[in-house]
Amino acid sequence: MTKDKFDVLIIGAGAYGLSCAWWMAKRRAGARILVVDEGEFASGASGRNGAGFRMQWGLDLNIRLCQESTRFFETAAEQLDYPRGIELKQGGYLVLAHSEKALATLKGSLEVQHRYGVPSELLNPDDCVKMVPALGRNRLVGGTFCGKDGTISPFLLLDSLLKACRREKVDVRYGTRVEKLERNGGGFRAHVNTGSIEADKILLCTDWAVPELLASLGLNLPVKSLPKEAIVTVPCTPRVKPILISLEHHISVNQVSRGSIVFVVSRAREGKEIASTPDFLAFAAPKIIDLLPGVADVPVLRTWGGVSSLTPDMQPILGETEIEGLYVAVSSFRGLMTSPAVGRIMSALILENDTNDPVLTKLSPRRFRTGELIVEPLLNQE
Amino acid sequence: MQRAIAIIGAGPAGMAAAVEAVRRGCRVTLVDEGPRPGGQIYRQAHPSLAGGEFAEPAELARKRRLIAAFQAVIDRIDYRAEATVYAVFPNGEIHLAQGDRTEVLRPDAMIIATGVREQAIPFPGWTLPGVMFAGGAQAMLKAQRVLPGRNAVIAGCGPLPLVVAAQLLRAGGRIAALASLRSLRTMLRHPGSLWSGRHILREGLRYERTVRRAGVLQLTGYVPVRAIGGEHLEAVALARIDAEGRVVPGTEQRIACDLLAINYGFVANSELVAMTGAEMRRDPLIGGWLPVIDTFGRTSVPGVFAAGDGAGLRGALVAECDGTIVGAAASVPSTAVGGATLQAELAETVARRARHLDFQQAVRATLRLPLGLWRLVTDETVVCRCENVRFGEIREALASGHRSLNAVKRNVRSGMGWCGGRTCLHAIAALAELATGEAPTEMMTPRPMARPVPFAAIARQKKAAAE
Amino acid sequence: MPSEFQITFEGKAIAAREGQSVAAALVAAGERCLRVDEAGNPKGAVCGIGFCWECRCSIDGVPDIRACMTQVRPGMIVRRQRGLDGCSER
Repeated sequence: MTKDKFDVLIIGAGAYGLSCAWWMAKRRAGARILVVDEGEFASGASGRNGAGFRMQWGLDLNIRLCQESTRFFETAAEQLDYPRGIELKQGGYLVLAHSEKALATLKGSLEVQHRYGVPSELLNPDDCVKMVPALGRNRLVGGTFCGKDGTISPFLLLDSLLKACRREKVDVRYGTRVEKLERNGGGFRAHVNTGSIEADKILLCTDWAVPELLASLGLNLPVKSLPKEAIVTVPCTPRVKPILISLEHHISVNQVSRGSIVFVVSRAREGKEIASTPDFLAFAAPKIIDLLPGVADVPVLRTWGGVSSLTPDMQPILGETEIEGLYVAVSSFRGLMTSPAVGRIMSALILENDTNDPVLTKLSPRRFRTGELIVEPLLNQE
Repeated sequence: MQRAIAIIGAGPAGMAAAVEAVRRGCRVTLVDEGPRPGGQIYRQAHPSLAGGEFAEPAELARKRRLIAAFQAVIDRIDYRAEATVYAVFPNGEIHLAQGDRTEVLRPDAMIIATGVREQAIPFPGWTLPGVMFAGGAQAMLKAQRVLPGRNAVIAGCGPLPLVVAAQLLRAGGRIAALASLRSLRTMLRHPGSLWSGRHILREGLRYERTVRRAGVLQLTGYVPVRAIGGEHLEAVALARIDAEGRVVPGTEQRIACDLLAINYGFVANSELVAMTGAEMRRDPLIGGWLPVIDTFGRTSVPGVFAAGDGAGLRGALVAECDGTIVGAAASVPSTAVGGATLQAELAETVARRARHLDFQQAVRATLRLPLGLWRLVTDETVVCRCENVRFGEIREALASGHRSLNAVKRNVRSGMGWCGGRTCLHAIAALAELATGEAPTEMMTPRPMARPVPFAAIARQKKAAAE
Repeated sequence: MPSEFQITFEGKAIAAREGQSVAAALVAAGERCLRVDEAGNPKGAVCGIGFCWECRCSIDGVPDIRACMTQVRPGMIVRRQRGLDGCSER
């Protein structure tokens, strides 16, 4: 049995876990930080998503988190000393409305975005189709576009963070599963498959699985798993330049630089399985053809699944729990695109007890006890 | 109520299973990608190209007998030619594409008899047009009556290179050299096994005579180390290797050719059976990742059976017996499998299968690849052809601690292209073992699609008829 | 179908026989480069039985068809794909 002692134990080495670790290591040289993950590098949701980041949200909190994160992505190669870069592409996001109600939501969100200086604009259906000729006109009433939104390579982001963490002497261990947590004097003990770990503070970055570990300390948070499935096509000629989101179809579309098109299709489902389901393709194909008739003849190459997190108000949960020294960071299906900002904010909170950021006030776990839930209007779960 | 059986693959195992399942009163659907039954080993030419066979008469007789038995029941089964299974699921569903539409089958049991594909060791220049798998070259000859090259070098291990060389010669082709990893006399180390397959051995000796009489340059212990050419293959460099698989310096010979047909053994087409969630095991000598099965072809998933080479490389004769046995087991209620009645009914076929399997021990000796042989792959050699991933990138990923095939894939994109890793994953597994001392135990996570299918065809999905 | 006829490859007439695969007819005519990949590498038929996808061509305006798995038809128009351009007429 090996015994380890750390200042901070981070459970989960996805975008949130690694980002928080790196920010903490930078904030305090010599801090003893350990990140553990039960899987392999990039085997969780951070390695399975649509790879996009956008500032087009309707709630100020989300706009700010993503704005800060976008600025980080723009200089990540430098900041993380990663010459190869993270394949940053800022071809924009086009968010589509296929009903007057959805269009009203887009217009309202646009107003909030402009207040924060997000360079987004309203487009009519003709403009949308001009931008994406493969788009179907059926029921299309308009959209919004922001040219600074885009994509990165999640693998390269995680790789750059992992290497940067290790350079800062952060210990990162894969294949290490935390079975349960218990309090140990002023700190904590984590029982893992390889022994036990002692830490003064713990940050849970296991997203939908956070409640499992909280339970071992008698705590609870209303986080549910949100399984999603995705499709990638064979490489084909460029036909979708910006990332597309359709609010009505619950689909996001990203044609990657190799030419393949990635579709993430959301539907109401329960469970924690990443396996592709038998009825998914038959469900998704007609919707995809309706949204983008121009891809009807493109072959599907592969499908896969991933699990994100769902909270009652569909907002992240960031902050300290009722137990002092125990923190959570739950992404609510926007982990990758908020990870830089969340890393900074959580590092300030955990190492310096800095609670000033309004994000922490509004997105704290406390809100579920006080009932102060918040609404993000611009959602298709993408 | 008739029991519904779906069989995937119309090679010897699939055909034999279909015949048996029909005999036992089942409703059989047989799905196959090809235009005619026979699979690879018993590939049939289009009727207008028939005539002029280059294979041994005894093998042809076996082929004709089995195909005739299958043709006799073809009107009583739902035979889907040129139909492709693109997904199977743990719930027993089979998703197939045929023409411009797709369909879902929900049989009571499925028999996955998808056979094997060829294995290649990547080497510098191997992506040049003119470098083919030996079986693929043979398929062009067998079914298309086309000589895939005017001046060929054949290379590899096991019986197939010899067979292909002989058949090409009989068709009027020229062989510049036949390079074998080891002599087929290696089989002599298994005299008992050879006795079990003595009639096959006679066929082999006749192929050898064809090659010898043509005066073909035979280089035993030589492998291709470099394919040379600009826009296509112009020559190949062959070199001798030692017992550990290392190239012996100073032995390189350059041979001009327009076709290099290679075969280094076989890999099971086990992607579909793995997709059902069946427990898998790895044995590189007989096909790589294989389903764990019992003597009746039952996998760990109830209702999912595997038969033939796709469940472990054992040759066409074993595959045919296997098909009959597994076809029977799939046709009866699960409680009857392993019961005395079925055992008695299958006793003779089981005994015959065991005899044919015994011969395979001798064959396997010729298919063993020394791990060091994978050193033919240089850092600059493309390993994943679909995504142009060089070994150097893979080696770096392995060195960074990314050991599983999934992890390597995530890092360098190997296995994410059109062929779904069918050409490269076995090579990456062997290269990982060479580089790190440990072979990956898990295959790349199997998931749809086994074949690319357009959205439009998926949207035109026919529902299975209600039971 | 007549037993012997012509198909075209990159505008050139190619002799074909009923029952042959497109790959076989092209190889018999000495055409070994069936495709040029995104990195500029020339590619030809490799596995011959449909699992490697290296031999994919545009056939009668439809991209990415495996030449080794497709039987020739009189007047078939086969084109060599370069990079992502599938020579599609859809």
